[in-house]
Amino acid sequence: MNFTSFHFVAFFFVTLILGHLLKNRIQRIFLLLASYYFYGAFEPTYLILILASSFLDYFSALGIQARRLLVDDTGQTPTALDRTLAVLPGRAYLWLSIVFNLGMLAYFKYTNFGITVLNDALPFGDTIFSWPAANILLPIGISFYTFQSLSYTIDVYRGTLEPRRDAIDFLLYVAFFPQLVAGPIVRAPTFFRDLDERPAVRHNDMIVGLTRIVVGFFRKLVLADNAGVIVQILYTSPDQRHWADMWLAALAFGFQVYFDFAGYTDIARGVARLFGFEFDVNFNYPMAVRNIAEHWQRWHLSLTTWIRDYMYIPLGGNRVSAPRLYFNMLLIWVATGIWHGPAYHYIAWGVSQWVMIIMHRLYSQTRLCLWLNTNGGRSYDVFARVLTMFGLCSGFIYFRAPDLDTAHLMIGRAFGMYNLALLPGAFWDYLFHSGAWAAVQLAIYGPADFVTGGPDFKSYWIMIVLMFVYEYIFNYVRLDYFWEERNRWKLVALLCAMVFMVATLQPASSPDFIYFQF
Amino acid sequence: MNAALKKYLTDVRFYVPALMLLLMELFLQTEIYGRYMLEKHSAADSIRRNVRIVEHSPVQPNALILGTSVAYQGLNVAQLNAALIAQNSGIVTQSAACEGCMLQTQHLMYRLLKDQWPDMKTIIHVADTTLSSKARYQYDEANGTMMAQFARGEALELLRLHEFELDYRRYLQFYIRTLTYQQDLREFVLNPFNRIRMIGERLRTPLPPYTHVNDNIYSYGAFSATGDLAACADNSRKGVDDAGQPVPEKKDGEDFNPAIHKTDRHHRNAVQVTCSIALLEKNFEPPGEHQWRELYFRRLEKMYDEIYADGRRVITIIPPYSDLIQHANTDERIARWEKNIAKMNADRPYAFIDMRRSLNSFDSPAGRKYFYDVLHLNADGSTVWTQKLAERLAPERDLILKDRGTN
Repeated sequence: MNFTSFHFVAFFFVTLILGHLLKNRIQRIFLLLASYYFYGAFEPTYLILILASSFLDYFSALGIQARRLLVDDTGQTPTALDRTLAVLPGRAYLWLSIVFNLGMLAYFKYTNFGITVLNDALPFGDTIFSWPAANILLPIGISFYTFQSLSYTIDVYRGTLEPRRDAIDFLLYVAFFPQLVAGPIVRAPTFFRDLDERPAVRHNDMIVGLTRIVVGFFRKLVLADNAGVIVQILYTSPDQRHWADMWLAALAFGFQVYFDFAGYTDIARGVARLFGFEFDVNFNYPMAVRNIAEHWQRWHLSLTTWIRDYMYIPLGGNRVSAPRLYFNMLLIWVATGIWHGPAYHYIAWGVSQWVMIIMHRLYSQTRLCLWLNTNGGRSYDVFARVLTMFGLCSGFIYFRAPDLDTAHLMIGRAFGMYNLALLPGAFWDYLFHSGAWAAVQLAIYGPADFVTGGPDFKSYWIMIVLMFVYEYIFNYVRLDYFWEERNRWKLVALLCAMVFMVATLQPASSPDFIYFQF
Repeated sequence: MNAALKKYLTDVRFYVPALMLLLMELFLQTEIYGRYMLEKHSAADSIRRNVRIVEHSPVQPNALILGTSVAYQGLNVAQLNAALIAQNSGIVTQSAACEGCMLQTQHLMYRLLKDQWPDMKTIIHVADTTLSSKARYQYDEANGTMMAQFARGEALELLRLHEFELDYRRYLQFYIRTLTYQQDLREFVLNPFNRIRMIGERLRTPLPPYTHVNDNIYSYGAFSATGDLAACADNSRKGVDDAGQPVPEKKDGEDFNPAIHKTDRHHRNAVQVTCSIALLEKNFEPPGEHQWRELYFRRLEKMYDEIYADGRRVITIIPPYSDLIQHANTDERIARWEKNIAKMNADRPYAFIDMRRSLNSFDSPAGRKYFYDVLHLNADGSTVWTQKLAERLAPERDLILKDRGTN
């Protein structure tokens, strides 16, 4: 059930009205059932997985707590369930949760990729000795809810969170429909705070929630889907395109993936707000920034902070030597790439981000950087933002391209090269196997009769500029500004403009949210 | 009234955006937009314009042509009538064929126009044989927009008759004009000046007696002299001929010079799109083709049954197709069509005229010059086919002019 479908609109209104008519535990049970209906509408059998993951983590957390009660003698009276669960040490429950959740993720998400890697590593090629593909379908949202559920168990193990004894509350935390299939990855303390303390939904909550929903639809249906039109054309047939078209492909996809995901998050946060939950910000206007580090401090925050808390800091954080730090960062970025998708090009995307971050880190320690930051003025500011945008989006080519060869072809072509994918092999042959220099030249310049078309799609360049301007303006004038009572007519104008554009400017077909596939 | 509820209802932030949407919808429901402001050649406008023209035309036909863009572009009805008069056949035709009209739209068009001319006795159905394996239980947005131009309740009833799956989204698309015209509104908002110019032009120009006269001068042969589909798709994308030489293209605003120009951007795009689609379809055998064919012929039979029930009869024409898609019009496929048409008309008069090879270049490469793209004839091709069709229709005069109700 896609957020942009009529099915969801009907589901949402029914759930909202009934949800507000009910109170306390009945309301929670209703929201839980509604969430399972929402998830089951994609594929009913997936419910088994989410229930298995939820119950395992629920009992794991109780087991960790039970062991602590009995061993540490905290003064609380253990229940019969605590005595039963305390047979295993807390660490065993933690590992059970980690192995089960990551194992489930690995099986459904990475088995096919593992077979590909295995076949690539073995010298059997396409013979009968190669391992057959498993063709396992990825259950929607699994990357999000396993991370969410796992963080709960880890927090309980670390002692920073009390386990939830009411199973309905915990099941609702994992399955709450606004954030279930594509995040944000909500942390347990945030969710349970809202669940326990949320006041009745007030007038202001309705305004904030509805504004976020309208902005979300605008970002998805108008901005992302229109960028998606040109992305589909350029990534499907990049071969004869002009170098300017390659840059257009890079920028258009950068904006498409951002507005698509941020739009989803806006709708999720808006819907949650209408039920009295305030999810943390997931995208803090990350496109019109001055450097890559700033971008990653604003992009998909629920995932980046998860990785920081549960991977980066346990690996030593910033308190290690520089080489170790860079190596740890490489691990983190490879993991981030693999989290997005089981394919080489996602790993390459992660590595490209790592390279850019290291480059920025080294540059930011130079005197030139310091001087420019102090004396560069407005022109340097704009230059830095545009340069960051191009750098970021060139990395996104790896993200969107169907495979590594296509990504390299496109990146090479963006810099006027015939086919970057051919270059390393040709150069290697030339250096070590007496290969011909002509092969290297061919990779750079292409065959003599190679011609590309002219730079097409001028109107889409205007669209990219408008998207950049949108991002730049809203980075300064936040939505909070429009929610102030004195700016109510400005909010009316904003909502009217966005509603009108949603009604009239969406392209013929609206694809699913990109992050559904992760 | 509950104070909290009153606060919501009187807050401009809630009701003004909702009111704006409502007013827009009410305006669209007035039909001012549908009648005067639709984009030329848009799906909705192609229906509305065709209906307006045939309803206001002084031509009083006794045979009505139904079909897709193949018939719309391929037949010059003025020339056809002139040729039929020259042969003293007594047959007068009018065309309600339109671009992108699926069978259901043709069926609705028949229902709309059947009482327009009391003397109309026969339907000349130009069948698109490539569509028989493409029948499905769902229809696409463009076709939904077309069908929503007819009486909405009747159109939905016909869709049920044609075994379509209708969900609430389909109903909404028929009744909420903001959804019906969504793509058209998009073009309007993105380029309003162009639309305003077009509206002015439409108001100034009187309606012609026939829906379309083909004035396309170019042919796909500029990109593929060998008739190879892959080369056609590739060459048209690059803008070159078989020898790799650039095909001279007329730029926008430039004067046409027949000695130089062999294409323009619209033509190149049409060739590229139709070649690419044909290439994909050639290399891909859709699963369940038999099932879809059966569905298509069931639907066709329903339309034919209704025509015969009105005392009229049908002449089925297989139109000419270019060399590039002969794979889609094999003897086997056409024989299947003929068999199905014969079966559904077993006890009633009919004619089946196969003209699929009347213009193509099996015998002579010169035939390639008659096709604008893979599917459609250009102006020269239209003239030649129209003459040939007149020659084939004239002998069927007794069948065509037989009184209604004498089947």
